[in-house]
Amino acid sequence: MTNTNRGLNRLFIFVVGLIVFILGLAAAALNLIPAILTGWENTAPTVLENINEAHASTRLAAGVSWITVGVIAVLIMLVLLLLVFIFRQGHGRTGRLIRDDRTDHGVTVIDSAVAEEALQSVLNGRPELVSAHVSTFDVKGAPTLKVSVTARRGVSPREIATTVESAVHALDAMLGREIPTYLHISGGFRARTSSATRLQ
Amino acid sequence: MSTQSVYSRIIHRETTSPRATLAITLAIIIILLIAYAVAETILSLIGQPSLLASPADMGIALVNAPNYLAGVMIAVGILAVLLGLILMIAAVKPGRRPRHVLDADRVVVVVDDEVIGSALARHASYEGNIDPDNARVSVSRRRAVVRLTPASGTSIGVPAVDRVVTEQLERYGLRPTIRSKVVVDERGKVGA
Repeated sequence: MTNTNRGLNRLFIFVVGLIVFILGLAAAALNLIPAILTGWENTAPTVLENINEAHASTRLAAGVSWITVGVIAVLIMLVLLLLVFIFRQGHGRTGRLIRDDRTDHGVTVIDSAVAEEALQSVLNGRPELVSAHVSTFDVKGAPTLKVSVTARRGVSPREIATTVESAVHALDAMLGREIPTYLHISGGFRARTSSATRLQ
Repeated sequence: MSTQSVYSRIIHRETTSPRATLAITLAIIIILLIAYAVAETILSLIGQPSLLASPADMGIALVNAPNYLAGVMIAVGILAVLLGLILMIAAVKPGRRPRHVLDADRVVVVVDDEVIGSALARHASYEGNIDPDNARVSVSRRRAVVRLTPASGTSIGVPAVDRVVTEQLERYGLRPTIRSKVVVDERGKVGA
């Protein structure tokens, strides 16, 4: 339901995997293949020397190379990007259910809380559910209700679907239009530890 | 935006994993590594003693690593190759969650396989006249296996249980459809 960029998650995991893979391969190959080891011994000290020289020749007034400053700046930028990446996960909730401005007299706005509380108060009283939670998400620009229920052990999912559908039909009648609704029936820890359902 | 396209998007997103946990974990590890690198660099800039090794020492150690760390480098390298492969596979796989879509008219319904299993277990144990704790159901994408342990000295009518389980599955109307199989343990249990 959230608008997490899943393609980006995949790409990120893949790129990290690829880097780890290549570094691992390099570390193993360096010690297993004599030709690569010789190449490393011939070039690595020179490369290190060049890096040190570059640092020495680019010193600023304070005795600090601007390469060092640049590297630190790039690393901090990278950290900021990663933080943005982390905090972009799992968004997409909305507080607005309906906005109707087709009338001549003004605008009608209905908050998500109306539908959420209406559904939740119906579902919380049901004996076959351990818990029910309703939230609203924006899916492709359409406000969509998400009903998550935890089923008591042994309850038929068909019965729960029927119960929730009748509650949603009542909501449709109240609002005068159909809001797309998603129902997730989960088991989970609380279902396992709570008492089993009575025969129905 | 049509409701149908909203529903098909929801079904896709709810039956597959966003891989958020893995991505966030990797991002945090990388942030910690960078923080360490920046800390070492700044410490060496202001002439303070390093935490583990200064950047200059690290460079020298890296150049000479094959001389005295060959065994460790091979082992770590092979581990890294495996880890990298696992990450790349995790990124490419479809990442299905153990869930099924349940046909309904008004709402789109997704059920955890666990819920399907516990409902089947209850109906099977009721039909087989045993305690629900002695019915174990494992649900995979296209199969449900119901295992029943009878009370010692009694028998369980497999065709009847099989009929009840199949009937339940038909009533749920799951996508993808699940075929069922009922297995009764050879050995009974006292008081089951």
